[in-house]
Amino acid sequence: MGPSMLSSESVAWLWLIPLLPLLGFVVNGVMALTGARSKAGPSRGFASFIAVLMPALSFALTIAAAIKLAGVRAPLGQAAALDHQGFSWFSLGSIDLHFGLHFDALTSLMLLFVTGIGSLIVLYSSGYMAADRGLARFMSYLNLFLFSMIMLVMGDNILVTFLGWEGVGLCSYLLIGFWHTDHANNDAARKAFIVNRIGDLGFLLGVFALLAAVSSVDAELTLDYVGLAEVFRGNAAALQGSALVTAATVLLFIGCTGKSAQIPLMVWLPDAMAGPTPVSALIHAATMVTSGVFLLARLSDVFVLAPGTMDLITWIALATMLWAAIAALFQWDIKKVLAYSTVSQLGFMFLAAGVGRFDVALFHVFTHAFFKATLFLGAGSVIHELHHEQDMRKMGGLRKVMPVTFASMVFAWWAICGLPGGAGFFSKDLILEYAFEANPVLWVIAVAAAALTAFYMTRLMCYTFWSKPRSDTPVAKIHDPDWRMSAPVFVLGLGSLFSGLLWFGVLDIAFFSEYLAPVVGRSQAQFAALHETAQAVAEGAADDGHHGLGKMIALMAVSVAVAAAAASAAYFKFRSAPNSDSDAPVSGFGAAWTWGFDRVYETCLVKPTMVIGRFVDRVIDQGAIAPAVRSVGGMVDYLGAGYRSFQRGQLRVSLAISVLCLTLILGVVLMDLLLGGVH
Amino acid sequence: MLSLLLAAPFVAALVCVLGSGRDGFAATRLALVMSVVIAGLAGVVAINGATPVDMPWFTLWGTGATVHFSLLGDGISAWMALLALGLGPAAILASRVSLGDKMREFCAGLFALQGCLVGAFLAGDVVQFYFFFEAGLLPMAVLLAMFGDPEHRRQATMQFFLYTMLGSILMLVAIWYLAAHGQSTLISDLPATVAGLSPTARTACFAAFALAFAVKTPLMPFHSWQAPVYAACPAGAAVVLAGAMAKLGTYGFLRLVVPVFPEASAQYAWVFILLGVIGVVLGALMALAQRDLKRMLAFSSLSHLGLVVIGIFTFENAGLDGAVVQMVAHGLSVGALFLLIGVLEGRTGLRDIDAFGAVAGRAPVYAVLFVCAALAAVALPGTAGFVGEVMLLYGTFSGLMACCGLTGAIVVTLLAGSSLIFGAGYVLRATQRLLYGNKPEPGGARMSEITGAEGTAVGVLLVATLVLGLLPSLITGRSAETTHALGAGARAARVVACGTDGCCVLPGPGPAEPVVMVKEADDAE
Repeated sequence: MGPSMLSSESVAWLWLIPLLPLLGFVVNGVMALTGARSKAGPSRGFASFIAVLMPALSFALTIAAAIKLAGVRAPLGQAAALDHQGFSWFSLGSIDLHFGLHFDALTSLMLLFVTGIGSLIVLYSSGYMAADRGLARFMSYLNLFLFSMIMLVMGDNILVTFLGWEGVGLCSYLLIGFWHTDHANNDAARKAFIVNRIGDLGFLLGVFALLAAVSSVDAELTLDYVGLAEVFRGNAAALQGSALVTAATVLLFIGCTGKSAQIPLMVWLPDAMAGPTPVSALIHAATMVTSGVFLLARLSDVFVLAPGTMDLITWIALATMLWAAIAALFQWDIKKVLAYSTVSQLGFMFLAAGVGRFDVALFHVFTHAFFKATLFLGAGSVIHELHHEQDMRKMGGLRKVMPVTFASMVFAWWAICGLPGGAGFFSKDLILEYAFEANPVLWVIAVAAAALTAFYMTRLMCYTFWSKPRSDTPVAKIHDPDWRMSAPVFVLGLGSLFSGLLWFGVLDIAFFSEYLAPVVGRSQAQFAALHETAQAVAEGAADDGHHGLGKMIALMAVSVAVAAAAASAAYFKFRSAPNSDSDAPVSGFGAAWTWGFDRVYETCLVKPTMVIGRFVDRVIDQGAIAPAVRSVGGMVDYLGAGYRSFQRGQLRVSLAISVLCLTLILGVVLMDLLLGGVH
Repeated sequence: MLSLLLAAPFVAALVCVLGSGRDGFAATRLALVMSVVIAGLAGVVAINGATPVDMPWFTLWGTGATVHFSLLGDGISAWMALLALGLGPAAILASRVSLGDKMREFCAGLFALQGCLVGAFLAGDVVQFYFFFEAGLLPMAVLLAMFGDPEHRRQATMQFFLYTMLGSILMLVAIWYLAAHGQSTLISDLPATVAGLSPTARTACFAAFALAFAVKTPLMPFHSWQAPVYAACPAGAAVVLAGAMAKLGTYGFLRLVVPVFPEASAQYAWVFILLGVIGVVLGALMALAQRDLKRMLAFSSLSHLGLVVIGIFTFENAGLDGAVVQMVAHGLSVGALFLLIGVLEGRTGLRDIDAFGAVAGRAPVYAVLFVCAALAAVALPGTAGFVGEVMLLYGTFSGLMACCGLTGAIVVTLLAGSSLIFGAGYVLRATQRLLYGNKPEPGGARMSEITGAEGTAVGVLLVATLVLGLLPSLITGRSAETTHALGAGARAARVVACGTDGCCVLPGPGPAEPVVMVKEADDAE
């Protein structure tokens, strides 16, 4: 155990945080299974109660742990942490892997919104799915998801994280295909799982390459995050830019593109909207898709040593955010707009990570979790009230009849557009600022994407809330859903307005930059020192605000002006919801912007795979090898007439042979027993 | 203790024949009780260990070598024996509905088969190993010929019997040769005997052993007996055949090839890694192309065991540990899947992937168990398969890193790991076609809920894979020392080989594959 152990404190009750949702999964799962064939089905009230209670308790425990963490004094340069060794899992070569938990600033930040927002979304689901026969099953999946997500962020080594990583993929599969009588849902679920698996294989290979890098500097092999950070910090000079580190980081990043829907593995996310809407909010907006960003931050000490990978991340992020923002302009399905918007926003997070500001990336993860969850849940309320209508052309005018939902959605819209005061304003503006410092070209592209964001989001709001009613359901019958759904939306809506203020801090604590500094601060400083010009380094001495205030304000003004202009342009264009091409199907070419990628994958990967499979099966296996084998068989068959009777399946002969065999063997055994007695 | 473990299945077979009448249910119940007791005994041996048995038996005719009656109680052997015996209850329950009153004969055959497997897995003497290795063919062939799919069983039995018999006949010759040259046929004495042989003889013996195990595993391209046999096999026998008997091949590589022929293994490791990679990739692709569920499982086994062979021939500790864990893990998951498909076939008489649909609505518990077994098969973290695959892939990666550098390591591991992706592809495809959708096809409409006993049998296998997924040290804790020792010689030999002619693996996976195919076809003719 290294000196890092001094800065951590072993706390056994940390285990309750993941285990409570697991208990919720088990209870609800058993209820769903035993009640599956009964007439009434399992008790809805109890299922919902357990499912909401468990994550809520986890949330409370997370707060308790965060408070306890604040009391842990760490030596200078060390990250304070709570941890628990758990039990010995398995040995990978010479590495003894533990199944343990680690709770530091990064974990606590992720957990606070995973369990907090997670609980709210589960509460919302209890209303949204109240009439569904499979409520208990749904609730059990949600709890299993939360368990996996908690393991993902709490794991003390990479493979425990990987357990959660694949676990959330599994739950995503189960939840997308929740209504499994429709094969369209099942196809979407399967696609999500397989695309994620491609990323997961990259993840695993990345882990192996990481180990190779560790052994290349003769350090003790480990997969613990604490140990890895020490190795990569301690040997930074030797490992800087080495092929092994570059390979490891690129492979790990492939894992991130799968989970966080970046080019080229983003094709599953738009299809994943087939699942019930709360699922989209929980998994495909607020939590699971951000795990890629979490992993980058967790391994920031490794990533900063691979400048090539950081550049790759930056450009992939830019391409993704721009492409997804354009795609969102053409959607008629309200959930698809939000899906592409999520992909685009994830691009912003990866951009921040790519320019070496992991704390800013996490800040955007945090604010995005609030406003995107609000948007999805608000959209879910609308869909719920309109009896599963998702086509925005059949909405409109909901502003007056659904005031609570409308207000929450406006807060979130304000936030995602990056208009002053909203949560997205702070996080997005920081990203733009650091992008500008790295390279003004990055800033230009990102501002364009931000403008598109404001445009398509305003379009969504116009079609849904501001224009005239066009729905099939009479307006008089539409109203805000009951408190289980409205309350979480409103709370999250308030969060979208105010969570951005955390950057500046309440009570004079700059929450993100200082709180996360022990975890990612050093790698960020290292990255900055390595990659900025001499002048920039000189500027960096007085970083974060005071100097260059003028430039910062100018940049902010430009981006806000552009966003505001885009939003108002969209408002004036769409406020009356023009129905120009209303015949376009919801899921046509314009709607499926991954279509191009999908077709490339279909023709280049899926089809050839199946064709090769059939070819090998029919032509080589049954056409070439099997006859050859049969001819040998035939020859022997011809020679051995006695064998034929056996082969005809004559029972007496075969029984005789087996009895003979048995006798022989028994003889052996008896002999052994007799001799054994002598010994 | 070990002798008792070996004798128990044979006694049970006799009791089965003598003790129950024509009543299928009585026979089933009797066999089930015995098989649970024996499995429990094997469990005790696997967890606690047992003193090895070793005594001179007879002198092999025509040689001066003394054959020993020797039973090994180390972690690998004990766990493989537990696998062979632990699948018994599942195998019996899987066949009950479809076989009815023929259960007495079936159970007797099954016990005899398990006895032979235990004999081979525990054998500490190569002659004894060979005896049980071959003897196991008889009960298996009988089960196949008597209870198999009526249309295909003749062909399948013949193919199975001849192919595996011919494959191992050269091994018999090699054993004889080794016995004539050494004083003992104990497996632990063989490396010394082999070291004294001329290089040509050494390579020839190596090839004879390797061929026998390559057919048994099976490795591509010696696999063509597998799919027809699995398809024709009654589900219960398939549970043991795929779950335990196929592991005789990989076990043989681990116990009798790598430690006995370290130099040859190191020299020809690339052949096995190449064949393994081809098996992993093409096996998975062919599994994707199947409509028959049992054939799909056959090709998925080809794919999974290919990975095990790759891991063994990296000689890395992680790869060898992974091979043992993966053998157990695959036995459990494929056993559970065969049982479930047996249930399906017993209820409906069908096993075409498109003949069902919407089973989840009619049989929700069955559906849940099927999904869980499918997840175990795709090596989800938390299941034993995950631990096995991670170990194997890491062994592959680090072994190739040592030999061929980063690019080679990434390419081979990527190909070997592609089973993670393709595996998800065919397993989830089967899950979706069988369980989901809203319109049941004929098979789906005839499907009824799984019974308590069958469900329990699957449940036990699934719980075992979960427990071993979290605590694989139950296996490796006792097997690791032996496994690492088994690979030490070849690892040292590889260092020498690598030192002289650089990279010893991979002339390139692409072009070599048709060459191998053609060669095999030539050989066969």
